[in-house]
Amino acid sequence: MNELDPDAELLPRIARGDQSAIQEIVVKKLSRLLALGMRMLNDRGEAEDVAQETFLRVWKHAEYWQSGGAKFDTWLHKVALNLCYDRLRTRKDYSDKDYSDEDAPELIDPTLTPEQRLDKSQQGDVISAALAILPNRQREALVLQYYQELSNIEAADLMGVSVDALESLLSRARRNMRALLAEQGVHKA
Amino acid sequence: MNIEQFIKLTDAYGVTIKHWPEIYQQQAQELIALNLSEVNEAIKQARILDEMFSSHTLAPVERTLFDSIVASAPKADNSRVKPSFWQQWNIKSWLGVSSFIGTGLAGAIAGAFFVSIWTSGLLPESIDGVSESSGAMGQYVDIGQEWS
Repeated sequence: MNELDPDAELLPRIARGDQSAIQEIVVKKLSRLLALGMRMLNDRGEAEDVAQETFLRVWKHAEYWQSGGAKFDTWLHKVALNLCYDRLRTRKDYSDKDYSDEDAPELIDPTLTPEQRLDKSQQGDVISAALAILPNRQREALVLQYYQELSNIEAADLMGVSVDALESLLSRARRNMRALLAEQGVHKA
Repeated sequence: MNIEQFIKLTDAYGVTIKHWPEIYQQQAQELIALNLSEVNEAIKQARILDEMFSSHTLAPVERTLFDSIVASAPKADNSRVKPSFWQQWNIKSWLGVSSFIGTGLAGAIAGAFFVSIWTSGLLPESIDGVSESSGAMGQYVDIGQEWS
């Protein structure tokens, strides 16, 4: 096994059509890819399409994979993110503007009481909606660092920014999320 | 690490120290251990947000999606794998080789048979003609001699 990249040994086997290696990589990566797509796109169907397309790229490139460069997981995230951005760009409301308070739409039913608003399942929906409102780059930074648990260096590399720029995006993302959630009565600012 | 750096990093990475860059994790733990009010307040604020983020869970992967992705993978291409000697030599190959050897062997036996008959003087007349025809070469030469 390659110590630097635990997935590298699977790729030549995938290229040979080894079914156990194919199943192993799908078990290892599918839920992660789906989570990435879901949080970037806020649409389960599109997230599933992105996951499927990403794996098609894996099958295609497995034969040519060379260890020693980028980690397979990083490459996989890059492919999935590009596919997410392809879809985001087709949306009418696509924008890279920073979030401003005036733009904040209602995330939850305003008729709910504060107690109802703090319901855990509802809270998940509110987070989902708030993530969808964040500017794409801020959302990308938060999703990669917090949810996908990539290191700051990996996340910055994927986004093509410095670690300082990543930290700035993360701070703005968290500040905006706090403000959005406070407006909805879910978080005390 | 000073308090300002700690607050800045908490703003970016949240309160879960394992999410922080490795080089800061030990220093952050040391600062937290000092129990300073500003540090505690930064932790409290970041923790509320982190707990909200962690409430965002997703439905598990459906089996149909898993199956369709696995089905889209390349199948094993047996033509790429070099077969072993015994896999290459199937029954047709063996029949071809054995019929070739059999034909050669039959020819050799027949040839030996004819040679043994010929040398034992039992050849029939027609076969003796073959011997004369070889003598015809000599006749041809003789004709040439008459011309001269």
